[in-house]
Parts: sequence; structure tokens; C-alpha cells
Amino acid sequence: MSLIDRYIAEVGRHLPGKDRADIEAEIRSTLEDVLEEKSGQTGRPVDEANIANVLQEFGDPALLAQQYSPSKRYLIGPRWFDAYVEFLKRILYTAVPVFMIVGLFMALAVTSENIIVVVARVVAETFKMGAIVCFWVTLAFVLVERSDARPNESQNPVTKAWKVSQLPELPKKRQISVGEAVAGATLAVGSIALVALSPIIARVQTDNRSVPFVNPDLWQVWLPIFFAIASLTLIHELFKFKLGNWTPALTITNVILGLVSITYVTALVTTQQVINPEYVAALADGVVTAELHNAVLWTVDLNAAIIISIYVWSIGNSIRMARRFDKQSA
Amino acid sequence: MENDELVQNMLLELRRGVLSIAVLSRLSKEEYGYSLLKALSDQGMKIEESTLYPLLRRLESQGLLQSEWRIVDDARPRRYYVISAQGKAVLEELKREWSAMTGTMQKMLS
Repeated sequence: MSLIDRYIAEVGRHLPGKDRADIEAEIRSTLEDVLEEKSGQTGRPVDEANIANVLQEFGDPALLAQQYSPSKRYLIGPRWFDAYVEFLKRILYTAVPVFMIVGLFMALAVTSENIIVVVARVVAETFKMGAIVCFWVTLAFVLVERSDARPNESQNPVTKAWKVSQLPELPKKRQISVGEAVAGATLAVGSIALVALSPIIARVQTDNRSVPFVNPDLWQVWLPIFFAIASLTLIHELFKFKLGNWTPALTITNVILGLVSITYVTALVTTQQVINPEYVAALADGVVTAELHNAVLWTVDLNAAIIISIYVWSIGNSIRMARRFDKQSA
Repeated sequence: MENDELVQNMLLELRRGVLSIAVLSRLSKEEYGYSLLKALSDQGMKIEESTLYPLLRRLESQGLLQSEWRIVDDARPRRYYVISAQGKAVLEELKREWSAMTGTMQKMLS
């Protein structure tokens, strides 16, 4: 009988706790009925081979057990799955680039390591951050799924009272996705915070004093201008979020802000020393000076180039979208 | 090959509802699992053990069947199932639907 015991134990392992003993007893009694019948037909006592045959007919214990609990067991069920994916996408699309850019700036500001090493480390950290975000979002949705008492498959869809009037209005077509506006606003806040905090966080300690990363001379004129532009950008992003479409006013603001920003960045990197010369000197203490100095300058130029090309794209994109919006509303 | 699989899947879906009606119709007098299985197969309705027992349990949890463990004659204890009052009412309705549906399908397919 040990084969039967093993089979039933294996079925029971996959059964929900509260009915397990009962279902196990029923399966056992059925198996015995079948075996009795078989031995009655052949006139011989039951042997291992008979048992094996009968169990083979009953099939995979896991499948048999699954038949007893037909409702699928979900980590995140169909009601929440779409929202889960949407949320995850949105948060990753916003957080990953912001984290990457901010992390890059900060890492470059405080270390004297090779740029490739720094970039690699920031990318690794970003992956780590992404994994953590995924974990917590998933956990949150699993908890929501568990606490949602509604059944997953609607059991009697026919009787469910539903009226045509319940249909939601079609959402207005947005040209500017929520994610895009959120990302823009986050970027604006992040860069303001980063620059404002740079005298505290981006410093290097030399023998007798600590030196800030950003050239202190910039604080008189250049950085206040930066704060003004960034604040306007933040307000602009909030309007993008609210309006959702490239209306004429929004487009004009975007073009003007873009041009001002490009002019500012260009003027800043061509006429000013962005990075405190003392900082570079302090970093370079005992290291290959010229090479490091060039690397730092190159990083500034690269960042400026990236920022400018983003603004150029943004201006072009907003004009193109504004034309389309014009046609749509005409 | 591919068609076989499709047909198997569709038959499975088709049988799922039909089996409930078949089981309800056979349980006006009480039966235990294996005797019911044989009764159904004697009438030409082949059904696997792994389908029938979970089905019985589901119908019972929906209140259409009643069951109890019992010893009849000198045999081992077995779980006996019989249709409930609610089950009878439901079966009547299903029977009506069934003949209407088979009539329609007959016309469609001939």
C-alpha cells in the first residue's frame, strides 16, 4: 500500500489546508474501490503492478490537486496586473534617468577616479536602485491583491447590473504624457537641489581646508541666473502636466526657455570656469595633474553638449507637436 | 497535430458544462464516487477520476449536492453524494436550456 500512501501524500502536498484530510480520505477510498473492482475481475489479489497501473490512470498528483482548487492562485491577479505594469513603467522611466544623471554628476564631483570606473559604478548603482524599486512596488501590489476581497473571475457576469451610462468619457488625447512631465519636473527640482547643495556635498578635503567643487565666483551672478531659469523650467513643466498638449502659449514658452537655456549653458562653459580651479588642484595633489584636469574639463563640456542637444530636440519637438495639435483642434 | 490540440482544448471546454448536468442528472439517488463513475460510463459518458471528484466537490460547495461519509452493508466508509433541493431546481432549468440549445444546434449543423 505504500505506493498509494506516497501518491496521496503527494496530492495532499498541493491541496489547500482546510479540505486536505477530507479530500485525501476520498481519494483513498476511491482508489480502493477501483482496486477492489480490478481484483474482482481477475480473481487475483491486488499487487504492486495493479496499483501502479491505477495510479498511472489517476495521473499527475499535482494536476489532480489543481483540479480541486480551480481558482488560479495569483501573486498579482488580472484586476491589478495592468495597473502594476503601468505604475512600474512610469516610475522606472522617471527614476532611472534622473538617478543616473544626478548620480553621475555627484560621483564626478566628489571623486578623482577614472571616468569609466565612475560611469560603471553609477550604472551598477542604478540597476540596484531599479531592482529595489521593482521589489517594493511588487510587494505593495501583492498586498493590495491580497486585501482585495472581490473574486478574481467574476462569477456571474450576466446578473451584474451595468448601465451604458457608466461608460467613462473618452480621455482627451494627451500629446505630453504624464511620465514626460513628471520626469521634467523631477529633473528641474533635482538640478536646483544639486546646485544649491553643492557647496555642502561636493567638496574635497585638502591638508588644511576643504574646497567646494563649483567655482565660488559663480555665486555672484551665474548661479542666481541658473536658479531663475530652473525655477521657470519647473513652472513650465507643471503647465505641461496640466495642459497635456502643445498649445501655442506652451510652445512659445518652451522655445524661449530652450533658447535662453542654450545661450546660458554655452556662455557659462565658454566664458566661465565652472569647476573651482582650487578643487582640481586639490584633487590632483600627487596625481597626474594635466590629464586629470583635462578629464574634468572634458566632462563639463560633454555635459553641456548633452544639455544643449536635449534643448534643441525639445524645441523642435514642441514645434512639430504644436503643428499637429493645431490641425487636430481645427 | 496542431488541430488535434485545438480540438482537444475545445472539447474540454465543451464537456466542462455538460458534465455538471450529467452528474446532477445521475444523482437523484445517492452514489459514491466510483459507482457514479461507472454509472456514467455505462451510459456512454466517459469521465476521468481526476475530473469527476473535484467536480463533485465543487457542485457540493455550490449547494447543488449533499454528501456524507457512510458505511453501507459491510463495506469501507465511502462518501455518498445526492442531489439537493436547490440542485433539483437548477437541474430542471438546465434541462430546459439544454433541449432548447440542442434543438438550435441541430438545426444549425444539419
